[in-house]
Amino acid sequence: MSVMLECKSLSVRFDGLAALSDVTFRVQEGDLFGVIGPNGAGKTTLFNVISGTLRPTSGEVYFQGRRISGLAPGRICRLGIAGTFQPVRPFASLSVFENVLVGACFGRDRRGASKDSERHAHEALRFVGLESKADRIAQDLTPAEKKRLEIARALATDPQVILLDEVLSGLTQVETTEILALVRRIQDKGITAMLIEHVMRVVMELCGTVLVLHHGARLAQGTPQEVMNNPEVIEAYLG
Amino acid sequence: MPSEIIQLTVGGILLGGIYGLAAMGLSVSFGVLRILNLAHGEFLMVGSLITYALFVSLGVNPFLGALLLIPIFILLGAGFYWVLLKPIARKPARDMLTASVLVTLGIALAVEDLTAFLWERPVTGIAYSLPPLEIGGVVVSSVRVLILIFICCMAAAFHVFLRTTFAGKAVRAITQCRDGAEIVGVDIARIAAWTFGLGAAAAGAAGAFYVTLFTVTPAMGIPLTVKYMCVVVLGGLGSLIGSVLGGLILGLSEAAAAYWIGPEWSPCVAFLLLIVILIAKPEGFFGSR
Amino acid sequence: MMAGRRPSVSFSVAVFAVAAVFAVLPAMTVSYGLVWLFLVAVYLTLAVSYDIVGGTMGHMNLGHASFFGLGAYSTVILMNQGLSFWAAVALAVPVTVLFAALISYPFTRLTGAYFALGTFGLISLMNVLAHNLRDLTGGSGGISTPPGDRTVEAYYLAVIAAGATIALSRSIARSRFGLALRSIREDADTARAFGVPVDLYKCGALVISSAPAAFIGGVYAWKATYISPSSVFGLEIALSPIVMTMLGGSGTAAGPIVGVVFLTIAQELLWTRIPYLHLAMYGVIMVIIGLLMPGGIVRSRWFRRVMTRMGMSSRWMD
Ligand SMILES: Nc1ncnc2c1ncn2[C@@H]1O[C@H](COP(=O)(O)OP(=O)(O)OP(=O)(O)O)[C@@H](O)[C@H]1O
Ligand SMILES: [Mg+2]
Repeated sequence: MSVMLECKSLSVRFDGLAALSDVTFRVQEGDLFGVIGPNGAGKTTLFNVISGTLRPTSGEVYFQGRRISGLAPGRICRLGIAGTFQPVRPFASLSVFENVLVGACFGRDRRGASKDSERHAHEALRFVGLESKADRIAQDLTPAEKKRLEIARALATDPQVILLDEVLSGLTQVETTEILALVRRIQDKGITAMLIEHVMRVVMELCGTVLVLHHGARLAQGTPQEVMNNPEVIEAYLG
Repeated sequence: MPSEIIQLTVGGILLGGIYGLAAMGLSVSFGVLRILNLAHGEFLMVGSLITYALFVSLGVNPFLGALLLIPIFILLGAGFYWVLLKPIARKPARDMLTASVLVTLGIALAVEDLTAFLWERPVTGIAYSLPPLEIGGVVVSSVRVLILIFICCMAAAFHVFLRTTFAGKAVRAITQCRDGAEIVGVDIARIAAWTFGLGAAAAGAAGAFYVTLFTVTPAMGIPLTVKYMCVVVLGGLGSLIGSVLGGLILGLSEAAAAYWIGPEWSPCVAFLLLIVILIAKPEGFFGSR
Repeated sequence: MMAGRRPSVSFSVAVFAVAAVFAVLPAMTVSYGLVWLFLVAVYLTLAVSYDIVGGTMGHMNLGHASFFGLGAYSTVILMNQGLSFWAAVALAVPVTVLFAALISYPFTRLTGAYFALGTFGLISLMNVLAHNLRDLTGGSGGISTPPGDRTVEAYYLAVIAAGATIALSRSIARSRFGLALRSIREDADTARAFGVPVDLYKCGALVISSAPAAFIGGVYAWKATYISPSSVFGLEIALSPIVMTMLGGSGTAAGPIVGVVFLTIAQELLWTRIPYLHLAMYGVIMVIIGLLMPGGIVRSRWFRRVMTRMGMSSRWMD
């Protein structure tokens, strides 16, 4: 197993507020890497830095040994890191298929012929189980379908790392189970996944490694078991 | 030469004060409504013409005219909002933008064309004068001084209104955080209507002064609106002081351009400033998106 | 709903039939009708090219007529330097496109209301410049080309321009570029995150939309033999194509066409009978569209029903 992604002492400040401070960690290839922490801990901020939509105040991000912090988000996407948004941001008045096609056309490494892009988009839709809705307008989808759509759009870019920001929040029990199965299948494809999640049970079941953030700093990292038994983590969650 | 410069400066400041007063209303209503009101200049144009008509037919002096216009224009503005803008205020941002451009520009066109149809000749200012004043050896027209005093008073009244009254605080709350204000129970539509009314009144009163100094034509409304937009963008959203300063900057630059380059170039100043400022600060000084 | 779909046979036949009708019309109609059709084609070209930026990309370009006016002035000025119309317009279009390219980067950094405002400032500025640069433009008195009756030639050119612009806009809509423009319209930041070259494509769209406008501006000036600041930079020419597009349905294939046809017929019936208050009537139409039918005719339910009954495919409405 090799290192897929590495963050070295990342810090982000929003006028005075330290959203991330000195966060360092590594993500192994093929891992399902969980990021947990209370509200406002800096989880989304971390994802934004990795995907390039936010520049870190200091620190670097390395992807397969190559420095990517400072690159344009589109570049990073083409190199192989794609994600979902919190809250979801589909292209509202475009069809489901067109949403995914944007990822397939512009987010992939090589510029394939347009036929290929359409094939990739269809594949991604089939993978998440939305192909029957391909011609629907994105804003008419249910919340759960919108999350699937975002996952499909990210998958259509043929990523090596996928960033999933609270894809389970606000879903019913059944929908949660379905999306969880989807996340497993993504991992089975060999895609490294980073997952932000609040429900502990899910993290414990799915993730190989867990990073705990608290007030923007790394509180703990390790297997779910190690993290759960860490007294500081228990303190942060209870106190 | 120096006395000419002084006259020029005084003229620029006066013009700037009028711009500032009218732009204040636009600034505040943009803050509350997030609606691009391209009909704002029409309030000034109509205010000018009413003042003129009152002066010519009944001999009402323009200062009294300005005071009379305020309540009328508050109602007019509030009605304008209630009938034309409230229905589109709830739409998602992009739809609201298109709809507001269509509606307000449509009103502007209709008002201008109708006025041009009814008023065949341009109105060449009001022959209203008072004995001149001498301040420190410089002779200035007392009408102009009075106008400046009036503008300052109105700006101050506007400022006090926003700072101290409940409605004013609601206006500022909405400007800063619309959803928050709504949750706390502010009736946005009502506040917006009155704000709009006040904005219209400021423009109408500015019109009363405008006609005492300059020629008024029906077609001037839309270019004036662009000028106010320029002033608002210069001064910053919802900032009254900013509007006054922005107005002064624009008024003085126009006067300077008219003097050194030629009067036909003064309209360029606002358009150029507008474009340059927008581009230098892409999100505008409004800081919203 | 996109890409790769071949035009159907019936569609090709329809296009051919329309083209044939337009080709033989001059032989049959009186010159008044021809002048009217010429204007329809001018508005079509302007409306359809406007909608590449206004509809597909979702940036309301109130200054689109700047390109029209610049094309018109350049053509006339060059013709007065002794160039033939063809040489003049062949220079005027690149000049305008270059101008569009120069302004595109700063302007396309603006979004929403600010873009609308900035472009409105632009056309206002062009108007003042046309008034003031008297040596070049003849000032408010306007400027004339060498005289001549070019009604029939101008008619053909305008119809060809309108057809070409529609074809251009359709091929953009079906391309990756068009998909990218629509994604920018919906959410530029998300589009950027998925690799869409947002800044480049925004500039590209503005530049592309300037070319048909510049060309039709040249043709318009050539036919009219006289232009003034208000005839090519005025509010009426600036706003009518936009109003027509909005009325028909901005961002759809059929919208600009339906809007132009609808409003030019309405103009023909009303304007000629009532010689005044034309702008006011435009204003009222704008208010009505804004309040009651923001999606335009094409997106309204009754229009869809009529079209489906007539057997038209729904892709004209997307
Ligand atoms: N653009 C911004 N400007 C200023 N502050 C911000 C910005 N984005 C985030 N913050 C602040 O940074 C901190 C971390 O935010 P972040 O969204 O990363 O938290 P989170 O861990 O994702 O929380 P949640 O569980 O609620 O999603 C918060 O205090 C937030 O208010
Ligand atoms: Mg978050």
